[in-house]
Amino acid sequence: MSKSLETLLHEELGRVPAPAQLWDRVQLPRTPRPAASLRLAWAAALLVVSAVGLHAFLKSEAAHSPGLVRLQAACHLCHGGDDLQAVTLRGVY
Amino acid sequence: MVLDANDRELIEACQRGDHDAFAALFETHQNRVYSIALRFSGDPSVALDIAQDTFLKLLSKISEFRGEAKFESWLYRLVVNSCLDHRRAGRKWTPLATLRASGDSVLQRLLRSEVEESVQQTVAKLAPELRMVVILRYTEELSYDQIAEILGCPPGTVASRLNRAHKLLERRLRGKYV
Repeated sequence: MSKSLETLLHEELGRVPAPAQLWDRVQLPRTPRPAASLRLAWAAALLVVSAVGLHAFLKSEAAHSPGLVRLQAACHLCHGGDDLQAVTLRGVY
Repeated sequence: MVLDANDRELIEACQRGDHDAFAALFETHQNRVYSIALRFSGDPSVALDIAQDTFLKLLSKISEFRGEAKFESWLYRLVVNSCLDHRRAGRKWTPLATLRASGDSVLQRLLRSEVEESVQQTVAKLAPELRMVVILRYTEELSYDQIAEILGCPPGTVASRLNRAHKLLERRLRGKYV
């Protein structure tokens, strides 16, 4: 198969029909993806909110624990109640 | 007169936001835009991206078209810029062959596909400024003056780029098909 370069280029580089999906894509343009920095900020915010929520949950669980109430009652025997809440909480955390 | 009455009406309707007019412009020019994008990128999915960007630019910039230039030349410039923008964005393109629908036998289509793939890959290896001249010349069959108007360079530059491209393509395709 041998032919002139111009004939070959005319034959092999001709027009092709556009796929039907082009019209759909022009009608519904791609939504731009958020920038990496924005995605990072969202991830950091989610992490902070999760950490705060977990901390609050653990704190309330510890405060309502029956074991802790019994421990506080036992400590009252020796310490008489002064700053007992602070001492107990420091011990728990 | 650079626009005939029908084109002018269609473009003016499009400038007023007429959706049907835009659909008609799209219908008329979609193959032209997609073919240039495909021949330049060598990749159908990239070509779709480029063609989509071109029509979205057309939609957003049609109000700026004043009719001093021919509409086709204005559209060609949009496609060329979209191709070069995608290229600058640093996307890696892998040239692929595309089978054209035809009445050929399966064997003829396979042979044609092989030739087309080889030519497409060889063209894809040209520098962008040489490749674009080759595509406008052979895919769109434009004259040197038309190509020069679209690319904003003298016709002599078009001739010299085409000459360089021919030499490179001939060297790379020699013995195979030329």
